[in-house]
Amino acid sequence: MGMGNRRHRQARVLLGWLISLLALGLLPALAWAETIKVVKDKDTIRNAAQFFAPPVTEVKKGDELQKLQVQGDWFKVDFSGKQGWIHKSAVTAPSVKFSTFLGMGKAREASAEEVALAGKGFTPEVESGYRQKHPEMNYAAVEMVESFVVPDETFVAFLQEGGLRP
Amino acid sequence: MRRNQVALWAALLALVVAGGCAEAVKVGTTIASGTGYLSGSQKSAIDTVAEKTEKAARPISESEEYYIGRAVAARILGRYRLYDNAAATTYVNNIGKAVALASERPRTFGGYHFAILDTSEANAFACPGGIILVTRGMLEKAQNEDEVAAILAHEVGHISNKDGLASISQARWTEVVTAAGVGAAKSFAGADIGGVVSLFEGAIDDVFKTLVVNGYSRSAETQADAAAVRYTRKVGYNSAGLAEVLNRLSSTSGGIMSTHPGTAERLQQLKAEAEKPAAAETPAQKARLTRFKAVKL
Repeated sequence: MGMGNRRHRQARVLLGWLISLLALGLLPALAWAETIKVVKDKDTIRNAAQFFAPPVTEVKKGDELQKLQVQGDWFKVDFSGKQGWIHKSAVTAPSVKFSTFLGMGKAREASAEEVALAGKGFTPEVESGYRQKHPEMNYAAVEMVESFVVPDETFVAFLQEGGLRP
Repeated sequence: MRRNQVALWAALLALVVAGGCAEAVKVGTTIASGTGYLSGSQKSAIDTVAEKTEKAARPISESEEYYIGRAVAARILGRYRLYDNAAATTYVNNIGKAVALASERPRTFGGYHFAILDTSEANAFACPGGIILVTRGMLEKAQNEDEVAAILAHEVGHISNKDGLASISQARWTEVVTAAGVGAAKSFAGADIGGVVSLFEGAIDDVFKTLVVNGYSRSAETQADAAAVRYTRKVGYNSAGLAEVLNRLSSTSGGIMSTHPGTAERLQQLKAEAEKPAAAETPAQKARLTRFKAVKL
């Protein structure tokens, strides 16, 4: 009976700590929720929440944006005083500053995705190992497919002519 | 603070510092338990939390999906030649991009790329991450641009729903995560990479078999059909295009029909969802038909 109570108490203490841990983990995320980083090589902030809306300004990988508002898959952002909309797929999840979290070490930022990727599996190194093992795989053709680019103007004209609206 | 609380703090801090790495946490909890700071039940509770956190934190990432997709495409392109026709390739990229933008996943790590395979066999392949390969034979089955859009939108649906990735066996993926975890401790270089390359090979086999040999599950096909109807309608195409092209395909054998059974049921389902073609042809529809006819396959 005594043992049972002790176990019960221990379990409650453990639960209590786990809850505090969760709270600790979440607080910094909330505190830094406004900053998002561009993850695509380059992208465009637009004046409305849709693709091919008139551009406001260009951003490149690593640029930091202030998140102001969310509308579906689009974020309203501020980039050096210029405001507009960017699609969520072009930016990271809100970043967490590890240094403020643990109060030690070099200031380092990690996006939620980077944290999830900490134990990487399939990397470019794995791909090159695979290519060496399988010279019969036609990666040259894959690169041709990937490098085939239709200019934006051509695409927009194509949409307009066909009465299409993505 | 009581002694066991201090021990718990230490172990939980280890969990945080280790960034959810279950192995590192186990070492921490084993030490704490061995020195009497942690009871057996406390140890196993923390270890379980660490393992669950690790599993939850490791779905297939966007960049991994990209490398899987490239390898699957490389394998398919080892079998089929690319159709060298810039005008036709531009045409399918324009249509494909339009329907992809209307999808739940308008952008992927490497973006969407559409290409034509030079074969009269009617087929289409959605490689994870966004490379979509459609055969000349498949495009020949389409009688207008809306039907081409339906074919491509169906494939975008598979990418958006990650149906190809779903064919990677769970056991294999668990092994990848474990191997990568162990590899990380050894700086993930040299001999360790060989093991992950073998797992990568296996994953490519899984996806390739689903795409080329066995086909997706019926429910995956039904969902991709529904996605195609949604995307084409959103873009402004006639969403009845899919039913029409499927109907035409059902009279052929081989190619896509060998991996896509149950066309009758799919048609039944589509009938309920798709709209009737508009009676009067709009100028935009006329423009679409004109440019469709201008593309020589």
